[in-house]
Amino acid sequence: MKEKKYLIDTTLRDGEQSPGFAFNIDEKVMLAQLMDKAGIYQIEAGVPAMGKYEKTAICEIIDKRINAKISTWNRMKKEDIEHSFDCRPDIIHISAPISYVHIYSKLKKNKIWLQKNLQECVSYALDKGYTVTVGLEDASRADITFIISIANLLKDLGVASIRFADTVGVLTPSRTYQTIRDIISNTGISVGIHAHNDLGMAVANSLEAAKAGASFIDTTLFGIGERAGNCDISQFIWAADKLFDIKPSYSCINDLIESAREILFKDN
Amino acid sequence: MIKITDITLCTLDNEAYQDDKVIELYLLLCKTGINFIEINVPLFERLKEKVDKSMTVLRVQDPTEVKYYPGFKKYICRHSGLFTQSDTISEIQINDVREINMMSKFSEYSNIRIVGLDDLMQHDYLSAFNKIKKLKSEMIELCPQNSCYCATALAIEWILNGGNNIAVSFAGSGGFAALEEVIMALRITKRHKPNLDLSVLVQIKSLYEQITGKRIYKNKAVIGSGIFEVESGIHVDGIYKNGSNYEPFEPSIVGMNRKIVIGKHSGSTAIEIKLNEYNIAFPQDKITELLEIVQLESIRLKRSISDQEFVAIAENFNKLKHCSEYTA
Repeated sequence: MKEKKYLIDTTLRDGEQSPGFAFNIDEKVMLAQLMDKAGIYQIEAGVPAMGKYEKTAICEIIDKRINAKISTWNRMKKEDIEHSFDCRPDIIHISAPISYVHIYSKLKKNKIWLQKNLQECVSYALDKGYTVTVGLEDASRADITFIISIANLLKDLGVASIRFADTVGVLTPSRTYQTIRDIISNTGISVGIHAHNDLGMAVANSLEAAKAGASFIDTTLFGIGERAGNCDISQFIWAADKLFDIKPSYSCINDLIESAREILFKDN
Repeated sequence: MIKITDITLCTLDNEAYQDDKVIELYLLLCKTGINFIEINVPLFERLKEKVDKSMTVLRVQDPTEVKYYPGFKKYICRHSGLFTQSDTISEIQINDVREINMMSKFSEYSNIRIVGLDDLMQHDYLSAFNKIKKLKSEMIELCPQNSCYCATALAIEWILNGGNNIAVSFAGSGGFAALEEVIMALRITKRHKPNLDLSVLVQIKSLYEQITGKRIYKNKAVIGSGIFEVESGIHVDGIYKNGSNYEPFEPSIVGMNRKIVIGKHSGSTAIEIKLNEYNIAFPQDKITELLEIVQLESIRLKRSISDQEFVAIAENFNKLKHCSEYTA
């Protein structure tokens, strides 16, 4: 009996952030329907805080979905989360900087600030009855002790799962395995992996995270995404299909890929 | 001691060897920080005196051919059971992880290259590495193949776990671990920097595309032309403060430049940066309005906005604003 793993496709959020891609409402809805039909567990539909246009697309995706869970991506800001409330998604995903590089150098803040803000934002969404997941941005360059303490805090608050983001794509498979293991064994929280392909190892890192116990794997169609992209959905399924019970299986992914190709690359 | 062998030239077809650019490609590959470069006999006939034998491995059909081509650093041939001299690498193909248990018979060979192991990442690769390292051979080189998209990862893990020798190819040519990914990953994870300046990769990419007729994807790790283009508001803002916030390495290391692109996901910081870049005077309180216009235009065009298009939109906006001030 193979262990179940769940795909979270972020083509419509992280994938679309890559220069050269800008989907209109119809395209976003069509892509979401294709992914839903293929059996992808969760679709990260976009960023409501971007404005009315994006919110319209997300709402339509939610209206037309059959099985997939629909999530929205939010910065750690109450205003962002309020925009998400307008869309009524299944899951509100809040992204929080977790490395000292991001907290101290980029934002000129500190760990206390992060903890306080994260608690407020998470509680704000939870109190409205939403399922909340939290993305730990730049986790691959963060202090593991700090990650564990934040993960424990989030678990106590009632966060459904955390996402370990290799934001700049510098993980190696053995480090991925060890880190994910450490988080799970010290917190017991559900973990997802969000890998970037800057060193050509997104598939291997995602596979090792799954072997270490991560339940959720972030992917994009054709691996599109910031810089060198994200973990490519079909490559990941090809590599992981023998080990894990994943939907869609490799034999079922071709239809999705071919239909999506026409939408993503029709002008190329 | 890490030793990298580049096998790119042996993955090209005979037609490529007729192209004069292949000589230039050989010389440039030698500058990437690799230790050895592999060529075959037809290519040696083509390159002749250009070949630096002290760092070149010659691929031969069988070990008896070696005597006709003296002076190379090493020779390599597919394992055939024939006796090989100590300067010849026996290349063994392993496609099934179970075959590793039967490898002890190769201990008598002083140099071994193991090719394949595509699906090793799906297994306990660390145990497999330990079994391989138990071989008594002087030199064990790993040359992972990429049908499971894990070749670079396996090459890196081999080195991180005590292996010394790996064989790779530029852009993963022929289905191997990608040279540029491996050297960059070793640089980041092990501070292995035999070559501080990797800007040569840009020229290699151009030559490789010309010789093979293959196009390297825009988002190909380390060498893709679009990997330092950034559009999303959060990333532009972070990179503008410090590149290391959202980049694994400086673009200049690989001979590229960062480029801020305007599009659907831009934020006001990117708009301000572009306005400054083109010296366009623009009222601060209208930046958000301009941002909305370019976002909608990007959605209409289904792509990012080119700099020329952005300048035209901004100047047009200014002109209209100027006119409305007169007509108000």
